[in-house]
Amino acid sequence: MAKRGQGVPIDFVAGLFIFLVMLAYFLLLWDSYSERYVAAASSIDMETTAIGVADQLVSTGGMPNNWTADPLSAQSIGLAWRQNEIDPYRLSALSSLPYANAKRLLGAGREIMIKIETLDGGRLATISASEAETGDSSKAVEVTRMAMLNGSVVNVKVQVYEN
Amino acid sequence: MFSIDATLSAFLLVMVLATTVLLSVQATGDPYEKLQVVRTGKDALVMLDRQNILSSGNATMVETALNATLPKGIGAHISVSTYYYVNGTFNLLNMNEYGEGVPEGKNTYGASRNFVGMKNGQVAEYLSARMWIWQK
Repeated sequence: MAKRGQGVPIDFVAGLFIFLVMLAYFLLLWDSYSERYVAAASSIDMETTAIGVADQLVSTGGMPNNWTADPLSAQSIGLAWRQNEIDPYRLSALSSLPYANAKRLLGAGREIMIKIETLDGGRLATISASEAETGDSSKAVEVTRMAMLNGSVVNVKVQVYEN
Repeated sequence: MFSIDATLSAFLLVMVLATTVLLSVQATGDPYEKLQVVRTGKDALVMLDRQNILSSGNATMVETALNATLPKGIGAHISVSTYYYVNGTFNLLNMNEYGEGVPEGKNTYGASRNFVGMKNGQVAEYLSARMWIWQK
């Protein structure tokens, strides 16, 4: 007597086929999006740093308030003598600080560049690492805040680079 | 004809895929976009106040300063209400509008600033500025 094998139902085969096709699509999608997640997370982290540094510069005067007397002993630094008004002495003290100290006192974990510019783009001050130390400039985030310096409106631009 | 378990599994898989795509699209947006626009508006109001431009009531001066201060690609409308204070109450003196018209169908953010107008070293009037700001 011939043996009879159990037939595989067509709906099971079709269901399995659809499932495998969609699973493959899902895995491809996952791979694509995981790369985007990493890039987005890095970008958000850079933006958070830039916003924090810019806010610290235009909103606070630093700690202690007279940190310009001994910049290397400062606990944190800021440029404002009042909200959105930059103190030229504090700006001068920040410019004279070694970059590594300035970066640490601003709480930045990444490479940064600070530019103080007039509204038409004239550069008044720059705080940055040397070219060799600056991170990947193609992946930088910039945040701009406005403030007064010596009675004129200036842009405080903070760029944060991917390490 | 498909059995109910195959149909259910396909349905669940589609739901999972749709949710994944939706969440991925949401996650790639810039969470700080609104914050940056609002900060720009607040900064601009502070600048206009500190330069005594807002309290001047001079429309040309306000519009010129606004255009010079705001970054390109940002639109704004400002409403400045001036009050005088007498017998314990604030009374509206006038309300001035500056800048572009607020667009419809665009995300518009708000900023405000209250300040005083001085005359001969005395507080002469109380001003409240409200700004609507948007990305063009």
